[in-house]
Amino acid sequence: MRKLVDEFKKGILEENPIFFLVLGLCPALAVSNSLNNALGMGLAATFVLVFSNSIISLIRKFIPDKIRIPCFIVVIATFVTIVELIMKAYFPVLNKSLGIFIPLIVVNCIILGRAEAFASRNGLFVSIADGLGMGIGFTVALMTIAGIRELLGNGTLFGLKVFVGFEPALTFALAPGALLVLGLLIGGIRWIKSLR
Amino acid sequence: MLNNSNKLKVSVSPHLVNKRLLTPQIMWLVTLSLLPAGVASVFIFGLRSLWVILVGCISAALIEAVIQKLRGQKVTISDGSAVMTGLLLAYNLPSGVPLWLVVVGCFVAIAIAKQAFGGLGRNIFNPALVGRVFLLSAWPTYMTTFIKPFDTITQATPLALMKQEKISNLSEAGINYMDLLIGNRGGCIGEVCIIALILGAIYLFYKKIITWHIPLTYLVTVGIFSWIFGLKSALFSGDFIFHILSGGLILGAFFMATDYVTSPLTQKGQIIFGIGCGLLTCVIRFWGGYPEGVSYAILMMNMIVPLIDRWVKPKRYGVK
Amino acid sequence: MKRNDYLKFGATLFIICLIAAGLLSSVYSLTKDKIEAQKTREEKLSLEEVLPQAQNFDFIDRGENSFYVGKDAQDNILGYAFVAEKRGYSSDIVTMVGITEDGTIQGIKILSQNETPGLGTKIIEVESDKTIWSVLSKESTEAISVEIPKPWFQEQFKGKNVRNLDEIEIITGATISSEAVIDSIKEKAEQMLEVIKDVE
Repeated sequence: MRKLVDEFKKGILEENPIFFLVLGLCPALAVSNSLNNALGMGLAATFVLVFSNSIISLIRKFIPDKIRIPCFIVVIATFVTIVELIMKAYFPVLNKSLGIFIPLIVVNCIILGRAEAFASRNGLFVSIADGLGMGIGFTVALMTIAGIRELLGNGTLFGLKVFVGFEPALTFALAPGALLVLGLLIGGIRWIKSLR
Repeated sequence: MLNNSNKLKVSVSPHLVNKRLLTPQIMWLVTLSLLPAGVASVFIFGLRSLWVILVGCISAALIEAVIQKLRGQKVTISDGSAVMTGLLLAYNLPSGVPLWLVVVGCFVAIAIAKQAFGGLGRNIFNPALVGRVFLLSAWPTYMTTFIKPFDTITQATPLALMKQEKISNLSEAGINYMDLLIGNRGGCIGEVCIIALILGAIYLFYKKIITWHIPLTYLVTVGIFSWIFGLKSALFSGDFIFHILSGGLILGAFFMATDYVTSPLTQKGQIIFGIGCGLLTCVIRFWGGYPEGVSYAILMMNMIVPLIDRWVKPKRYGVK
Repeated sequence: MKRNDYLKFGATLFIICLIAAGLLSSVYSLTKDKIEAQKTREEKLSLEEVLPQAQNFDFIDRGENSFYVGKDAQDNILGYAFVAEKRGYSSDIVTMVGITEDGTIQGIKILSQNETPGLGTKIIEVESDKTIWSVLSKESTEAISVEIPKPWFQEQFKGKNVRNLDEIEIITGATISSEAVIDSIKEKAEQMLEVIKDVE
């Protein structure tokens, strides 16, 4: 039980996929322009991560070492397609704004990275805990970036105005803002950590 | 090292001699050489531009001091580099911008482009230009609203008119080369009065603070390129004098591309740097999304300065 | 590598793909109808927005010049709807337009665009007094939820004639995007009015 909690916690804080492993930056930069998108993307990636981790951990003993990557990709792609179909059917608005980035979860390095580095070597329950922790860590990181970008770049949070009379700095809503905020956050978090 | 009171002193190279200027001296001299353009802008755009300049200088110095205090370092605002950054940033803004915008620009220039990279001497990009480019992408409406000289109404810059294909030559904008020289045109505070800028540049040449390598190659490249491609309808007939005198080219070529920290060390490298800046400026002006490309050109070339330095590294003596 | 290994690799991959395919096809058949329904619903919603009075819509297939005929419950023709498209600043702006026979705009709806956030996207901006504080404090929520906010740029087009769109206010800082919308409607409407005449 102790191990499960540890594996879950590490993904959120000290091994956060975005801030410390620096994996999965493409969606972190592209979809972090609003909190709604970040939340949707984070939850979709978490779903895929938990299921792909658990399936891969279950079948890890049957997969020959030499063809493990194609097997992982098939499993991951299957779950991504399921997410896409469900989104199209039940959340068309979210599907429209996330667009191309849902199919691209297939090549999100966090998912393949966790399959390779963790799920293919560990049991079912720890793999689920790892997937859940990493997914939530990804979501939290994405929402931190998105919160800053949406607040400064658009003056809103979750699409709702925050200040009256505030003139948003458009840079943060555009691509350079994503790189700027991510870079400063990674630098800032490591700086704070180094002070301890 | 520079105080030669000792009779004998052993130190590693480079061996500096007293005659060379110290960093603070250089910074304050460059600031001094920029003053004529500032005075001219107060005449052209009114007191408003004085406020922008003052807020720029003061807030840049304050932000630098606060950050250095927070990082537990020695506060070095007396070396003048922060004031110069603030001054250059203010020169790159239209005179009608709100003052809070100037402060935000100084914060980005000093805190992010300079101090986050480790302070003076360690920054990759010219801080003042980073501040300007940030403001341009953050509040494009403010940053592209220019005030007409000796007036309070707004007016587009000649380059912007050219970009929108509203005019095809200078006289259609209602001005001539003389207007460009004295600064009777829409533009940023410090870039309009060419004569004042040239005065400052001559002083810097006289004091040997800048050399001809970057500014000359930069201007000549822009000249040749705009002579060839400047006119959409025909090659080899562009108005190159207009392209050299308009926009922020003179300010950029003499005062920003020549920044010691962000330009190549060797003369050969500086020539490559100047040509690169010129080519990029013209490419942006003629085929890019913005009417003016000096800031972006210099920033992009700043990025590859380490590569240029490595490429043209002088050969060590005795090594083939 | 032994021959046996190849067989084993192939078989493993085959089995995994088989299971994946089975899973996918079952999810697909479960969601297929729902996705179809979402599509038609979305189309119907946009049609209702651009031709507010119409009850039924007939699709008339004319290739590039396809359009919808909006009818009321008694089968009287109320207007026509079509899709106009033009390159904006950074994307193709697709707009659905509803007009009457004489060219009066009943309503427009921008179906898709990918313009610069904060500038070009003002063409679909919705003006609202709703702030995060007013939503968080419960009392005002009820009052606010009554009004349905409309995008102000698109609302301007209502009641204007397609031949005379000069009065449309162009958004400051988004000239190219707003002009793309106006021009696309103007050009396509002229063409469509001809087509519609022919049909009758």
